[in-house]
Amino acid sequence: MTVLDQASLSAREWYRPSASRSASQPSAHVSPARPARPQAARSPAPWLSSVAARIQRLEALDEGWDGYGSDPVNPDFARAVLRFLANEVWAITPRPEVTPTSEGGLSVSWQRTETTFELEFSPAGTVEVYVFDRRSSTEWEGDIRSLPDGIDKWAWRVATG
Amino acid sequence: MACGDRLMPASIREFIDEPSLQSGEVLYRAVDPVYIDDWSSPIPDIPTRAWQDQKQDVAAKWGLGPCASVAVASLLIKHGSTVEAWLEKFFQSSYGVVKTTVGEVRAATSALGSPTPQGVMLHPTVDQPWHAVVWSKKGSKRSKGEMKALVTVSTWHRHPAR
Repeated sequence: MTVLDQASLSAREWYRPSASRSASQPSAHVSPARPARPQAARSPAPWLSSVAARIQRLEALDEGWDGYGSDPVNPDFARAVLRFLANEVWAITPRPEVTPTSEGGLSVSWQRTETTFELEFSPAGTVEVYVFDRRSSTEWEGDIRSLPDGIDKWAWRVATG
Repeated sequence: MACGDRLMPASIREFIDEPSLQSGEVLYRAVDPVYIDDWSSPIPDIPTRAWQDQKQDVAAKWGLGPCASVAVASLLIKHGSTVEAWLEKFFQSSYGVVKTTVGEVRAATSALGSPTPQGVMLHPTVDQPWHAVVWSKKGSKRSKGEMKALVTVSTWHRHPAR
């Protein structure tokens, strides 16, 4: 299995909040194949422990934590997000910022000079993406399974600013 | 609670982009410090989530669709209050406040310049007569692109404390 296949698999399988999800849902976006690197070379991003600590703090938020009735962050869901971020495709990126959403989800975002990339993980199991790339005049928002050009391209753009 | 002590309505009311709110009217939006993850600079960036809508079921309790609460500056003054007193009473002293204007909110555009029209409706409550809401004229929950558009037209009145 290639790195890209792994990233795509993670996008599809990252979290299953209930058994009700249909097996017929669209498959993850698959990027063009590229030779896999040796297993030994694979490692998560160096910032992963820092992000894990941040997420752990967010798990401590009470219901209505923002004064607007927002939901707390479910620990099982939070661990699933962390597993997603442990994929080596993110290893080349700088540390993202992690913020809670009003529905108890987590937003993971990179704000770079030329590129903005945000992943919004919902406890319902969806991953919505926002991308803005100044170099290519691209702005796009939607389900991660429809992300143009695949996750690896955007991880690279984030890494290169 | 930002929406105050209104009676629970039976249905969702239609948003109205309040014509009495002039373009230069200043709006304040409280920002929870939990939205700041990077405290490395003295003045943090305004987080995208500063402009996320409240949960739909919470908004529905107040008879509203997806929207974000704001305080109207002139109404704060009219009722003898201040931003600081508003924060103190309804939020926490560590909260930040961003400010923008009605005109900028209405004319907000995406990063590539596409219109992301927002409306502003007065929604006074018993304890917050200055309360108003900003909503997406798209008719659904505010997208991330729209949140970013609002961040672009916002500045810190006071940034959150760590």
